Amino acid sequence: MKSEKFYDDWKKQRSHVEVGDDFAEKVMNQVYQYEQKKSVPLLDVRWFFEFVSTNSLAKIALFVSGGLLGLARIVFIVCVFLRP
Amino acid sequence: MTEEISIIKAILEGNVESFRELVQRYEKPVLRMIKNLIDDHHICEDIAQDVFFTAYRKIRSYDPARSNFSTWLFTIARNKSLNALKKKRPSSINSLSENSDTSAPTDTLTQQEYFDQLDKALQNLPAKQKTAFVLAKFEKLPYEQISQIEGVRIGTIKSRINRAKKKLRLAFKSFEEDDV
Repeated sequence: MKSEKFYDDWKKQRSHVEVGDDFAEKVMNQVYQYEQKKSVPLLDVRWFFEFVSTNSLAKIALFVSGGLLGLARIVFIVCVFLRP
Repeated sequence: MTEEISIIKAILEGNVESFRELVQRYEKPVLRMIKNLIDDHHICEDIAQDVFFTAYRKIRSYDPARSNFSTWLFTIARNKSLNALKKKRPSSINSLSENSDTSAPTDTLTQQEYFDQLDKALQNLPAKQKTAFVLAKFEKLPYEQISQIEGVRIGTIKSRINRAKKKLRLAFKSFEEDDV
């Protein structure tokens, strides 16, 4: 029957698929980029400076901790001098 | 199957390049499935890439004791395709529009017009029926595997495929009448 043949031809047509030559390459590029991001070390100096320069809360935290450290040093020195 | 497990083991041990083998092995079936579910050629390849990328990121969660790798991968592809379909046409996904004209004047239909009608009928199928039909007829997966992908019983899959076939039959009914 003509319709049966057409139906089979239609299924064949829809079963046919062309995959681009670079498909796997594109996927692998994504994968490698992901792996690279994952492997960024926690104590990356560049990352730290970027983070501080873009985050105002980090800036405040850095100033406060610097101030506290300075104050602690002054107190320590004064204590050393005043020690009997 | 055991070969795939050893590839997955290699990936988990840090051999990223092994994943390429899985991509090359499944790129055709995954892309074909997505193309048959979503009739938009522009986004199919992007979705297929996303399927493989997701598979890579979640590969630790794949359990060989529960399913084949292909079942797991097709499940990701199915979910991504259905999400894309929902974004694409939120109102028409659930049912075949009653107004959709699946019949056409018999004597004027050429083979291409006939294909177009079937394409239209396929795209208008409810998502669940379409997925079951595509997996069975184009991917030629066994009912058991389809039921795992869809998370329903085999009987439900069979009835979804039958209902899909009935609706598609409407599209070529006029041809059958023409032949008799």
